[in-house]
Amino acid sequence: MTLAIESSDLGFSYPDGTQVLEAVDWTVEEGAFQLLVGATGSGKTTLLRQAVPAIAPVGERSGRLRVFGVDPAARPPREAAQTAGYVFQDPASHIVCDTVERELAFGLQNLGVDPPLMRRRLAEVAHFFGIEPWLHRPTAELSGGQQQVLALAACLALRPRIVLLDEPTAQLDPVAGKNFLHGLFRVNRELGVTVVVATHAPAAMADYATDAVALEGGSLARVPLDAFRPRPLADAGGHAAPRADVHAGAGLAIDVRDAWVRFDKASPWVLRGLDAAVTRGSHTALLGGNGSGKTTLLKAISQVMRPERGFVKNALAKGQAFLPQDPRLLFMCDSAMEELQEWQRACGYGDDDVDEMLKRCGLESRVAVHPYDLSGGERQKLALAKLLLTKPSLLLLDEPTKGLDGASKAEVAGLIEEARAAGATVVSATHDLAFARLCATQVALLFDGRVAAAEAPEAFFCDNAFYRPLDDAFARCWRARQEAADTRTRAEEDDAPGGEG
Amino acid sequence: MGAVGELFHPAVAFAWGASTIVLSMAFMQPVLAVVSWAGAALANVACRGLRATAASFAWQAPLMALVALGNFVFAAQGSTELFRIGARAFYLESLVFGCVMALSLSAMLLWFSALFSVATPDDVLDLVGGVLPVTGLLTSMTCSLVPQFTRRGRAVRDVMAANTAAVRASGGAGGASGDPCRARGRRRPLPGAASLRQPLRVLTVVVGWGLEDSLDRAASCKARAWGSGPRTRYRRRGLRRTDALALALVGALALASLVCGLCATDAFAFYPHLRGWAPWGLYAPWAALCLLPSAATLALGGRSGDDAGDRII
Repeated sequence: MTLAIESSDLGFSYPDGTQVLEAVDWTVEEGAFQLLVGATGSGKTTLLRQAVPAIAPVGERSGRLRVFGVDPAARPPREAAQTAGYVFQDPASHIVCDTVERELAFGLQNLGVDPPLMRRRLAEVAHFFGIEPWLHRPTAELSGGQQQVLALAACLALRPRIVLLDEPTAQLDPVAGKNFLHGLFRVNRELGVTVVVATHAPAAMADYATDAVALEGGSLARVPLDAFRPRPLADAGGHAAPRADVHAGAGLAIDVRDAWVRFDKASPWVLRGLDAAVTRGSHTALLGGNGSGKTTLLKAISQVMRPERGFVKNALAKGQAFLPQDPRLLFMCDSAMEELQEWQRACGYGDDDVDEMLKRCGLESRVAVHPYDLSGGERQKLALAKLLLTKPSLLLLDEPTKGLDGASKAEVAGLIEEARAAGATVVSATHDLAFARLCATQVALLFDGRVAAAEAPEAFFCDNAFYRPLDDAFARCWRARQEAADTRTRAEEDDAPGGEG
Repeated sequence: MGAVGELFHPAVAFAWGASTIVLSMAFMQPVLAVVSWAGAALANVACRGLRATAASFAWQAPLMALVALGNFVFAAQGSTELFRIGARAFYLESLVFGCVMALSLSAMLLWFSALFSVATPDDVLDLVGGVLPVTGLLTSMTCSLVPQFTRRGRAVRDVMAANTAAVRASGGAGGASGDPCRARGRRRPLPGAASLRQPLRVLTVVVGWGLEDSLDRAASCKARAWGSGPRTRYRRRGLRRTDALALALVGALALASLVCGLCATDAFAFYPHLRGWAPWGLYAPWAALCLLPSAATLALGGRSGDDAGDRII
């Protein structure tokens, strides 16, 4: 049995002394499709990059590491690139060239491959991934899913023996993620390339994998794949957000009638006569495929985009907060603390409020860190915290749980629920069905520019063929959180005067 | 050159574009200027379509009028007086000179539009990539980054505008209201109080994000063996015999146009009266260079249909 990766007692610490990996014994068989599972910030990226010296982090490494029997640092750069390939999490920031064709050829040019052979390799890889129809397109015009497929194809053009992928589907919607995983599965099974995927959401990948390891506390341990196989979210397993506090007579916060919206005159209509109503104090989750208009509807509600026909009435427009899909759009300062203080004077909240928010988000130890140096989950929490400090009456959230692990999702969902309990109205666009099922009071399905259905979560999800939430890590964390809250509530009631205690 | 242009190596399109642009600027002679302008207009119709060409005319017309009338008003030269205002006379020769300047300027702009409607960044890389490989890669990266930065700038601006809760206490939430939004336009302006700082803040975010991305992009380059040794060059197409013949024809027409055009220009004078019209034969090479490729393109059905996203401009 040939081992693609073998490490013993592998340790790594960053220059500031942070020990990320401790005595890691890691094996990957040749031809395997291994999942490397761990929470956000557990060290998955650090471990993966040890196998690719060109991008290994700066720090102190100890122990032994072999990739196909050789220390990766001992290989010449060209040989190393043809041994181990790497696919990053965010393709948009890692694509180098302006067209698909050139991006595929980039690595081959670096290796000094002869032009005729280059063209042949391009043809092979483009055909394998079905890239030929968009071969000449600008990379800037590709969807997220296409960009990630391109990244994988460009990596495979160099014919590596092993491909290491760092959260490759974290930024993709579920459909694009599934398509990508299927391509990766073919790479592994048909081409025999060893695959290691670092992920905090293994449920979607369990059916493709051959084995899994978990990284926790700097150490690695094997875990059975069955632990990750997806199960449907049963009604008995969790309870939806309480709707008792959304009164029928609460009034409408948002009223959209016959809204027609497009980006510009040359673009097709995104919203086509859409009607929607959001009650004050509710949480409406907008579901729908890519391009169905979820983000556009949020922008129309926030009045950043205006309908060319119809109207959007937003009674809470003066006190709204908008969380974009990429939280980096909100960051203007050099540290997490400065971000939270940026609107302090304008909104009148104090240092105590900032400290309390840091504590609720678990960011006390990260106050001096630049927002871009935070992990994905920490960035999302920081962005949400920044918005919540302004005490908005309307929260517009675009994919608030994207790219987060289960525990981080539960924390974010908790913050959103607290804001709603304090009186805010929430509208969230999301692909996360479990989040919609467990946290929303209303679910609206967008299709063909209109709302195809708008119902309470229990009614919406009870009879779907495709929109079925899974009992994933978030659902389990959310249940645990709810049970802990219920226990605390019961204990407080017991301790109250006149209570059972 | 549209569909015809795609049949030939990019060098042919660039040679044709470069020769027409340079010679347009050199020929200050009425007939040559008219031929140049007509050829440029025809090239635009062939490459960009009638609507885009008309849109170009819409903004060029005032500019042309300014140039033509400027010379007419301020250069009191010539012998054929058209009219007089007080002691100031206005001459036909000044008007003609102004019109020729305006036509030359418009022709040059139209030739640029036509060339860069068919030339892609890939074409630039095909031409310079072998001689200046790092420049070629930088060009390619710039072409992909410019639209990305533009999109991000718009997105940052939209997010700033949408977060009205962050400015309401300062009274700066000028744009947000609870009134129904009727169809008044696609985007609303930023809150008034912060509008002076907004462009700088947008720029700060976009530049900072770009610098962060540069680290990721560098990692992506290194992971694919960038800097590991001499690079080979990826060429989408080589120069075939047909391309070489087309290039030779363009070169020959350009040379003949240069010689004949300079003769015609030297022989002609605007002042004190228009004189020195050259034999019609001297204009033939220039007319062929300006008109033949576009006429061929139109005869073959005009610009290709799937080129919308692939052009520099």
